[in-house]
Amino acid sequence: MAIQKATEGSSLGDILEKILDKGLVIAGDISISLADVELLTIKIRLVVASVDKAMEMGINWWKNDPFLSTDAMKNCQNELEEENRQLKDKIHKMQHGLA
Amino acid sequence: MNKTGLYVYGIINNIDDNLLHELAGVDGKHNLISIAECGVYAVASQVDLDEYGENSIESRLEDMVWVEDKARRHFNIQQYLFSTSTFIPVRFCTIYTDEGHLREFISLNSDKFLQAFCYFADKDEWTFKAYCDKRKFLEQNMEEERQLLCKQLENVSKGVYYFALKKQENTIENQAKEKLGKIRDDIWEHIKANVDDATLNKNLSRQVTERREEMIMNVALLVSRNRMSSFKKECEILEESLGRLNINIELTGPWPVYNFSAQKIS
Repeated sequence: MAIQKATEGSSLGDILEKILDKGLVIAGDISISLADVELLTIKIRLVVASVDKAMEMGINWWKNDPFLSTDAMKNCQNELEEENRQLKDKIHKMQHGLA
Repeated sequence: MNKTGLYVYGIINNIDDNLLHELAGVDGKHNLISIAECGVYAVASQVDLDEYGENSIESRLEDMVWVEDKARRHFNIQQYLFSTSTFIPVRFCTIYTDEGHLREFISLNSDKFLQAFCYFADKDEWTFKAYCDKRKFLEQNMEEERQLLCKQLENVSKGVYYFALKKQENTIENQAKEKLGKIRDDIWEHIKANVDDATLNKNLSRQVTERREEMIMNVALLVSRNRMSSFKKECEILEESLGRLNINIELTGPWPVYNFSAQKIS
């Protein structure tokens, strides 16, 4: 059946939805109450944590991708502007040479 | 020596200690143990209270890398226990500093646990989720209304037709919302009639599901195993009719009885 999924491929969201908010609540000596925490908040924070961890490991390819990083986009723009200026200079020199 | 507590995963009606003792608990260091009391077993593992104690656990929960690691371990252990016997899962991070308190709790509730084991012995929890591509759903409704309007205003000018359509757009959007609400109600009635128990949960946002479509229904189901194949057939029929409306459904399971154990025990 196309619509049936096994539980093994469960996403973190699926898992947290079950174990944080459901299951028997027993009066442990220590227990947490995360029922009020929006899963969205957890997910976003998890993504941030994963990115930080990746950078610690030297993985940071997204920093140089202009579609993913505003710094990379600015660098790209600066390079284009410089290339533009050089081309204009060349055209100017060629025009003077012909004249 | 560090003080330790008992991290509890759930209550089970039958256990093989030889297998259990080979499995690591949530901290990756201490293995699983069972605590027998009044004919039922709690499954737990020791944890250091430096990490899991009252003073430190709140700050651990701010560390999402820690939360993900422990959540997955907790979940995997519960999945294993569920595969061995009738199992009642306990919520994430339930810890006893005193074994005596845990034994007391089990003893006070042992009758309820034994009744719950009988009730759940031939049933499983499943999750039914429905997703709607709202943009396509709305466009489809707009197109149907356009065609209807076209027939009604066959002999009028394009201008009159254009203004009539514009005026209808808000109405069409509200009608589409109402239609979606009615579809949800129909799905709910259809599901309830084919399962032992059902409970409606909050829809998860797109940022959590990472899907383009929006979740419009999130239902936990309790289904007897002997009803499951006919229920799946009903879902296949639903899948076909809903697919034409740009609504997709997904059935996941079987799960431990996360959504139904509390009401049986409390």
